[in-house]
Amino acid sequence: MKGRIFICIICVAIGFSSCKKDDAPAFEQSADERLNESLTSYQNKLVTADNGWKAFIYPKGGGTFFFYFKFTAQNRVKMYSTFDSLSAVTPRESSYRLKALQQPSLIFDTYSYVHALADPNENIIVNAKINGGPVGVGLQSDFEFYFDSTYTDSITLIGRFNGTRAVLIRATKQEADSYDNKDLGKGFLLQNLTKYLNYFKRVTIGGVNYEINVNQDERTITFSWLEGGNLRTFTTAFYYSGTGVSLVNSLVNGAQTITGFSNLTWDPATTTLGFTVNGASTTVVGSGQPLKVDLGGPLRWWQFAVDNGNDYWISFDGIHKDGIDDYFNFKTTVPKYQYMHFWPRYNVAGSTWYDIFGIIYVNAAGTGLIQYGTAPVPTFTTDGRITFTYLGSLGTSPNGATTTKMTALTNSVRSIITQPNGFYLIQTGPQSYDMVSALDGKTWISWVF
Amino acid sequence: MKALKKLFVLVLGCGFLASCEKEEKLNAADVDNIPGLGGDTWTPTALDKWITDNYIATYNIAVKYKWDQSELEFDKTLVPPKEEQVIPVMDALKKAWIAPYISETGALFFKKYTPKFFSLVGSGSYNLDGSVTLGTAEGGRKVVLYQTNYFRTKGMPGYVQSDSILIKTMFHTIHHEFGHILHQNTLYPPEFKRIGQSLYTSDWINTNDFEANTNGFITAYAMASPDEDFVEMISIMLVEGKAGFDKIVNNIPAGTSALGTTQAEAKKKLRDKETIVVTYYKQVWNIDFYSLQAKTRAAIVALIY
Repeated sequence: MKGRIFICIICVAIGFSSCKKDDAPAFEQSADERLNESLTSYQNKLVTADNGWKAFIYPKGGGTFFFYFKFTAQNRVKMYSTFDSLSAVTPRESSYRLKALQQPSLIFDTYSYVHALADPNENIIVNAKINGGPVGVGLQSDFEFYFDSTYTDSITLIGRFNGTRAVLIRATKQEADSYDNKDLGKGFLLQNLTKYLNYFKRVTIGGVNYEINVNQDERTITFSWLEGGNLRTFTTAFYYSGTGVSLVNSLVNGAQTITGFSNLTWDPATTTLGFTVNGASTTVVGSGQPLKVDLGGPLRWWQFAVDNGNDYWISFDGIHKDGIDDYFNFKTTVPKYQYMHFWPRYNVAGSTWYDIFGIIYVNAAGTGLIQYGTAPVPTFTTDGRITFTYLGSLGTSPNGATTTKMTALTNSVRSIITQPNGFYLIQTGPQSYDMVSALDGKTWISWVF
Repeated sequence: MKALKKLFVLVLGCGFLASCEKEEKLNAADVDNIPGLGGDTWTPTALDKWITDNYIATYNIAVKYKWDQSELEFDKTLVPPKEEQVIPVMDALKKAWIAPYISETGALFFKKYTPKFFSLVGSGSYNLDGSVTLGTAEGGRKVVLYQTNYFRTKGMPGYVQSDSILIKTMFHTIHHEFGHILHQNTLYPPEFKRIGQSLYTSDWINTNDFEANTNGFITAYAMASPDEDFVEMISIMLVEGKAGFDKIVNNIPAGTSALGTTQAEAKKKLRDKETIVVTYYKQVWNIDFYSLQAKTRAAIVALIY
């Protein structure tokens, strides 16, 4: 027994004493050496691309932005960005550095076009709507990235704060030259679409008649076309690129594939936007009617407000007419103007229910809202229009010297809404509609709920 | 049995002695390999030289304008400053903060008490309550200045009169923080705390400067605590100048505030605080406050008008 214990003890003792003394590291170099090597190799990769890098940045807050970077060994970077039409053609130099954070990281360490996307905007002391994102947040983009993966001709970066993805692709000499030649600015000619007097814009591509609707703020484009009498629509984000306008998702319509527009041209004299698609040039034409009328649109719009607490639709920009936003200058004429409103089924006079079209402003004491406007009666036509007949005026006019002006204003509004052809209602979102004059498509109001 | 025990101990001892002897040498090459040790490096530019000449060599103050998340709040959306904004901001600080103090006391005082490290941020720092932070200071050592991308003084392209608000706010921040350093070295007399004693509140965010004035406070933030009250007094008196301060006091309207302070009481409170600040500067730091005030205000006026 004693012997057995003894053997056990010896065994354990040997076990303890048998530490392996060869603790050679798994890697030949230390962690620091390897880290420095990575940093150097990343930096070299960035710098040795003689023609720089094309890049896409996809902020968490939405959108796709095209960039061009040219890094130097002196921690400087020159860039263009399709953030706006100016940054697309104006080179800006700022600094960058590589740093060992939790991962080897690329930091754009002084303000540049990259930061414009991440800028939190300001509304205290200074007013700066840099990128349209919420104040204090911005577009939730990044300027501090870690290296996710690298290949010979591309690098994928991930933002350290918001997780923004950025992809760098080695540029060619031809591309680099074209950016210096202000080619990145050409796609912005698309913004001239807002100068068309007509609400509806059509373009024929490869024999198909498309209606296009561009949301400039969110950089999305919607194509609508008829297929056997039925309306088909396709919406995609787009970005401005070296070739013009590139669609994030291509439109595939039968044998036709549209990936973007190139060679954009703009003729202000004739208000004509032209571009090339799949090798063929075409122009955008204004139209007074939609490709296919949404027959149920007007009633759906009207009923939505009635069903949701019988509340009203509002439009901050008021009436757009003949290419001019806020045609009747509500914003400057009406003291403490808030928005234009449409209140369906507001009240009943005798047995006639009426709606209200008007403006809402803050009362003199600043304690409440006042409405003033025209009370019409709606009719829904079978061909998808809503028309209004005048019943009377309603509400309190802003007092004092502005009364006459206000009356004139209300009369102007009345003349617009009682126009006999009435309006189409185009649904633009779950709770937004555009009300477009059926007369010529040159007058419209964008409503949100 | 005894022998066995001895043997056991012996074996165990051998086991321990034999175990895991390692040779650890730290050589200089390894240390040199640690990335970022001694701070970040980059190829210096003319801007770096300007900072070296004007701040590091002169006052031993470091100015960090390149993005370094570790210097800032981790949960805020912030951006670094534009390079072209750094010199205007730091040059204005020299004129309206450093120069007046040095001319009143000498460089030694300034070098001794100044924060040693400035960190610049391009944007404001937005808080959950909707307010914005424009400057912070830590332990009398580090000052963070925000919204530098919007800093414009007279003569800079695009300057409009309303830009003066931001300029004054920035000087307000730095004079406020420097005030903290001074009172953290030598506290102001306890009478100061008694002047506004019952009215200090954590709810200061929900009041405005005018309301604060009617309660005998120079700004809303001054109602936060006696320390803030003291440095807000210093800061506003220096930035607005004597005339500006008098105007604030004289604009307190007749009647009684919502918190029960009469016009006369409010005015007296502000004047009493002014007296304590002036005396404190003289007795503790041997600085003629009114002279410092005149010089600071003159420098700011030169940047604005």
